[in-house]
Amino acid sequence: MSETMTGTDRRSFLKTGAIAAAPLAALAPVAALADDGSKARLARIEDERAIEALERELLRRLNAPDTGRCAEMFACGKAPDLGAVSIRADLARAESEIAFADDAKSATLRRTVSAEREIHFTGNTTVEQMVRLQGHGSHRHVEDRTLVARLSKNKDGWRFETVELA
Amino acid sequence: MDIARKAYPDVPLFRYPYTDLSEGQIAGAMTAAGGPKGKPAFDTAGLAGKSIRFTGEGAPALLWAFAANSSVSLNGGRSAPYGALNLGPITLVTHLVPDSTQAWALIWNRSTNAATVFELWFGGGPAPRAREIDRAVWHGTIDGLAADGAELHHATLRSEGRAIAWTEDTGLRTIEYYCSVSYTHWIELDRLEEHRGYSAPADYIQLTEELYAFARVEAEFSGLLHLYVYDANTLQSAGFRLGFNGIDELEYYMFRGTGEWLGQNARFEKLGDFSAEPLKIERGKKGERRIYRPLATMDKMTSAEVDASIAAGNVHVFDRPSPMAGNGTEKSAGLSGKAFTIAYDSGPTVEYRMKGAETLDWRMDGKGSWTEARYNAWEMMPGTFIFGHLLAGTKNHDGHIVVVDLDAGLATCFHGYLHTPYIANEAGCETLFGKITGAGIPDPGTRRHERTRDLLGRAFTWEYSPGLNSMHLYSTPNTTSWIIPTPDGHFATEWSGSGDFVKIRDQLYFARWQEEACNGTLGTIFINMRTMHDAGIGYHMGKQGGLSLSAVGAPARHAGKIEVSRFFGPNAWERKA
Repeated sequence: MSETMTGTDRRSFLKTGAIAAAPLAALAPVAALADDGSKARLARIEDERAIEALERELLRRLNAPDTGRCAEMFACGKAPDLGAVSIRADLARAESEIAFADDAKSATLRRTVSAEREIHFTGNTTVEQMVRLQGHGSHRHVEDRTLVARLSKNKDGWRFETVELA
Repeated sequence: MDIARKAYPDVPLFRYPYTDLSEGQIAGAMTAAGGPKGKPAFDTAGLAGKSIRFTGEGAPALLWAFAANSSVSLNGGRSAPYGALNLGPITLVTHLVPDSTQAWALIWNRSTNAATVFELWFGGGPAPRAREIDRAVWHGTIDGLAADGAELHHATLRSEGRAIAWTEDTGLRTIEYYCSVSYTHWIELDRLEEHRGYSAPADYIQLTEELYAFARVEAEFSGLLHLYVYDANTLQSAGFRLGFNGIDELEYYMFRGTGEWLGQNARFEKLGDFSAEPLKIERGKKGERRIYRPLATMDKMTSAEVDASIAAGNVHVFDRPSPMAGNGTEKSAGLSGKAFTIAYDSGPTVEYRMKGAETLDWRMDGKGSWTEARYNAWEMMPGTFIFGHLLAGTKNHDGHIVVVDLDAGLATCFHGYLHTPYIANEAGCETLFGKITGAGIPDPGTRRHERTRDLLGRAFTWEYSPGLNSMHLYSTPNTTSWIIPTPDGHFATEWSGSGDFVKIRDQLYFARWQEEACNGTLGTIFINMRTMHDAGIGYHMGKQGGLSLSAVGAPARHAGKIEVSRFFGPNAWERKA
């Protein structure tokens, strides 16, 4: 992604509370609004809300017993293996940061998440062998990580290009 | 190799070919013995004429009838000689079962009637060889508890971390590190020559606030049982030993002992957690427990297999993530661009051109062409580095793991090699001391790094990566032991191998362990006790992983230091293999 990313002060938008959560398809057509700057602002809000909704849905699907439905959210049709058993985000308390490219056709989302990882001690080191003997062949722990999602927008809306845990 | 047969071998126990005795041979020896011998007078008077019944959860019905002639009958069976020793309110009784491979031990608190029974047997498992004694342990009472509020005996973690030096009435001295809840580490100071420490599964039982029972089975080696009760305040013990020594003689004797308190290292269970059986096998077979059996499970290779694997390119030098260094120190590029020569005393002279952060050229003894090798380096204190590389083309696939102090002109090398006389893919190691010459490096003259006892008796925990932890105990001048914790902080299974310990600077040490007849690894670590972090290198050859150098590194916690130096002579670091 070569475009310059510009950060959005989402809090300033959210403080207005004017835009209620709604399906992307139900949002008012941007073209119908007067072009006094509010058109672009509303477009940005629409994009933010769409990305937020996608993020929530991705987290829901990532943590579902069957993660197979994640794939359809990605432009490439394939979901990445994030190496985590579960990924939790406190959506109510912490906000994601969304940076848009100048053309508003791509964006990067960052959110602090708690990633639960499971490590299987399958190696041949002596410590791993002894840990397995003790009946503890794997270990789960939670790490604070940053979910970094790169998205693109086409005529059907936003899709994930890549998602990774940084 | 030609190994002399001895009751107490003059080679490391992991090298000794213990006979695989049959149950018939064992039963014959037990029948011939009849009952326990021993120096102390047995305390049989109080038992003569008594019949006592033990009941305990899951235990068999046991009724002992003691006759006046120092014989006992169990459940109406044939009488056998028995031995009994009192230690305060505790009576310890042991006897064999005639014409069998079975024996019993009873630990009876006469004040409370709480009792513990060890059922003992040779053969039939779960031990893999008949000569390794099996045991099942039950806690219960003799005819019910004597008073309300009296407690049953129970497994305990209260002993964990303690160390006591015991001297038996036989004159034999043993240092016992109770460094786990399920294992022990002991050093025979008289019966074995090299003062190595060995590790074995153990039972730790609390009888009262000050009285404990302890039982060690020398699994993987002789299979002998060493069991005693001891008073932690008076440091008196009473016990017995049962099993077959290196020349297959049955040892069955009772003893009294006097202890010397050596200290207690920290334990790491959550405060308030007194659970003591973290490795219990639910619905396991009678006597089953988790025993580390590296002699059996090691992935052994022949010399031809080792050479073929390496020739096929199965060589990995710092090219894979190491689970042993998930929390390791950052690598250093500080050696890049330097050129120096290390002249080892009674060893080679190695010239180095450090071409980059991970590439060097080396040349041996000023001869031949330079050889390029990949290396990694870590700077653990300004001016001191550990780095390691393979010496491709050497007959034994050598690896040099070197600590250099460029401010002092001193170097120490743990020279790892394969093709030992024992197992081809097991790492052998020698320690080389030398001096460095190069631009800006001072000449140390005759000064060298030296072996140290600063680490002797110390224990450090190492947190390699999430869920992968261990504790080192540097138990003797030539032994490193490692103990593996459970997720809730109980230290449990344990093993040990040859160690060597070199002081680089104050609070800065270069240490190693060899996993002989185990996993074969040479582990090396450069320990900074000021930052409580280390960096190290593992040198390993295996069927799956090939020949490798890999990073080791972890933050440390200091568990303590047991003062044991006085038990070891000035050359106690020496060993035969």
